[in-house]
Amino acid sequence: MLGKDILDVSEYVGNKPLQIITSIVYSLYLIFVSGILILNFSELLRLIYFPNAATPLIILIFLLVAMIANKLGFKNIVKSNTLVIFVILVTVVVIFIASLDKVEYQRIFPIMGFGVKETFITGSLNVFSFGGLLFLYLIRPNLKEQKDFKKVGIISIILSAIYLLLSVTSLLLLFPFLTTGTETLSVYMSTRTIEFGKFFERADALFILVWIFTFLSYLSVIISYITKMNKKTFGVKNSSPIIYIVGILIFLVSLIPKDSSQILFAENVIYKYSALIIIFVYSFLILLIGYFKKTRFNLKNKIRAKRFLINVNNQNTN
Amino acid sequence: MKARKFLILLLGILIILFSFSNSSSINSIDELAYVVAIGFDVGQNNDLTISFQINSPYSSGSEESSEGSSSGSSSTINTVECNNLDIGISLLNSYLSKKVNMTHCKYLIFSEELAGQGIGEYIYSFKNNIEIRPTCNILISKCSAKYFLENSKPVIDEVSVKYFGLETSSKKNTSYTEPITLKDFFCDLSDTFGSPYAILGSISGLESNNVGDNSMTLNDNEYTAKESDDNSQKNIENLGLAVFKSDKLVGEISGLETICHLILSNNFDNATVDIPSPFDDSNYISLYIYKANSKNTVELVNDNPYIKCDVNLKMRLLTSSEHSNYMTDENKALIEDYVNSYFLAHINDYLYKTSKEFNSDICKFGKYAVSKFLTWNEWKNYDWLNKYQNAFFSANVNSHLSSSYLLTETKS
Repeated sequence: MLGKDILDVSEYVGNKPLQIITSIVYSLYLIFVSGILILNFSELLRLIYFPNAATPLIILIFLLVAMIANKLGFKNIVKSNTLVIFVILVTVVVIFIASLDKVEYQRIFPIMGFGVKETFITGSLNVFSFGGLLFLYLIRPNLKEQKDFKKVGIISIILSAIYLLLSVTSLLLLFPFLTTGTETLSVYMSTRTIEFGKFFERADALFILVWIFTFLSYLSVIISYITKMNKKTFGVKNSSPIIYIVGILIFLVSLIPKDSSQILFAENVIYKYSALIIIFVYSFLILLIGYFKKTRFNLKNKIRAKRFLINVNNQNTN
Repeated sequence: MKARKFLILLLGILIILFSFSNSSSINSIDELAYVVAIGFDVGQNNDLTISFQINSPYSSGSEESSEGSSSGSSSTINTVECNNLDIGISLLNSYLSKKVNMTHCKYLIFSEELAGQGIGEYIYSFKNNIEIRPTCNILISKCSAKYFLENSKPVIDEVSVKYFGLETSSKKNTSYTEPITLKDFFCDLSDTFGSPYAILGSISGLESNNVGDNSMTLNDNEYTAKESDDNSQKNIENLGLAVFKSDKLVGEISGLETICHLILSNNFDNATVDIPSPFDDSNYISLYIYKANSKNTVELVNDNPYIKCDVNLKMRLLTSSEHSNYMTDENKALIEDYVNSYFLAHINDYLYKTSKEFNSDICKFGKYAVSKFLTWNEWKNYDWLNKYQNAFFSANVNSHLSSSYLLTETKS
């Protein structure tokens, strides 16, 4: 099914109702995840740089920028992302390299971690970290060359895995308290320990700037895809109302958690399980059913074609 | 187009609002009082006496002192009595015309008395304080922290923050101490591989009632912070390390023991040491050790740690005397033997002192033992930090005198 995304597959599998359900589920999931993540990041910014500012105001500024970016069009978001992604990738590598002289490789021991059950069974749920794969379900209509989809998918999964590994490795080998306690600002902590000689001591400000761009880019992409999905499903021509509504909804979601314990619960429990259910169960099932339906359809067509050819041959011989 | 104009207008209004509305609360150098060091002592009425050394960029250089504060050429010391740091900052803010800012704080100084009671809660508070950098040094003062700050006047540098920054670089030149930062101390405090330690500091030329007996005759390297005999002027003297068990101070190690510690923990840069001359009992020869490392292994024998340290030293000879000739193979071998014996004795002393006397694994031998365990629970149940007391050691020193050439060769 060249050029088709998960919404098209849903329509193929369960007609319009399933497409609407998929669109709503995806939209709600993305709104929830982006709302919680932007809240967490804004809290971090407030804690570090704007102690007197209200968190909703910081969130609002982020959302305004993302909404304006969406008003300027998807192509502009893609172009700006091309720059931002490169900077982000370089940043993660820099954090990893800069912390190399401070790491203690013995921190990978005990090799079985918290035990076989914790590592291999409970730990398997951490596959939710690959939640970004959701965009692979949606990206296909945006590709210029449809045949490159497989390549794009494999490269993005490998890149995600490598960068996840780099981040986790640098954190795990750098700090003992990550294994003995809870550390919410661990990446920020690691950037605070980085020194490039005596001249560049406070690199954390630079990383915060990069993360601000990252979040702007992330929010822009999220709003853009939610808008695209809903335009497609409900046949809306003008995208502006959807952009505003999505922006407002993300803002409202970010206002729901009252304290840090609720943010942690939303991140560690709701986000984790919703990502697993929506991305790795629901979407996968739709694709699987779509695949079997398509295979069955093709098989039926082949049988029909054969019967037709046999009939034609019989008629000719008669 | 209409929407775009509206957005541009909205953006313009927002920029103007943010540019002008909050200007009264913008923090500039005129509104901030920069703290360069904070001292903690046991308080008389409350739990704590906190002394803040605040840099005065516009100081005229005159010396003044008043109740609760004293000022030197470039800094002022303000003292408050309170229950914790945050209250102390609030109290200080209440009678300072400027807002206290700790982003340039270089030293956190705890008096020996307070460190003996435990400093964990302060370290955790600092860790959560965004203004204090993780690179801020932790120092345990032999005298009161206030006295330390009052007498820590820069000798060469004019700006005290720069002076504090340079002070810890002495490790690179002498190896008599190790710069321990807030991040290091916090990591060690929460670590299962080893125990925390901090810089041991004092003020040279202390009055006899501020420190213990200063009359002992010691080898140069065996000094600890209080024992230096330079009484000519009062300035910071960081020598040795303060050893902690969990968050409580349990002892101290001298300059030479610190060299042993740095060698065993593979953090050694370079050092100059005196050893008894193998050629003349009444003399010493000076050696410049420019490379040292230790291959450490841990085995568990009868559930107790058996720690093996294989130390390699590379050194050059600095001393020459009238009747010595260090060029011959025999003399070179003799010096190496002496160095091996000398360091073996001190390393063994250091190891058994940290194990039996302090029960504090400041070398982090735990990281060599952790690979013997399969799961985190097994490692935690073993309780390395307390098992270290039962450890027994086997050290071996191999020294290599890389060149015995001196600029002026002597002949026997």
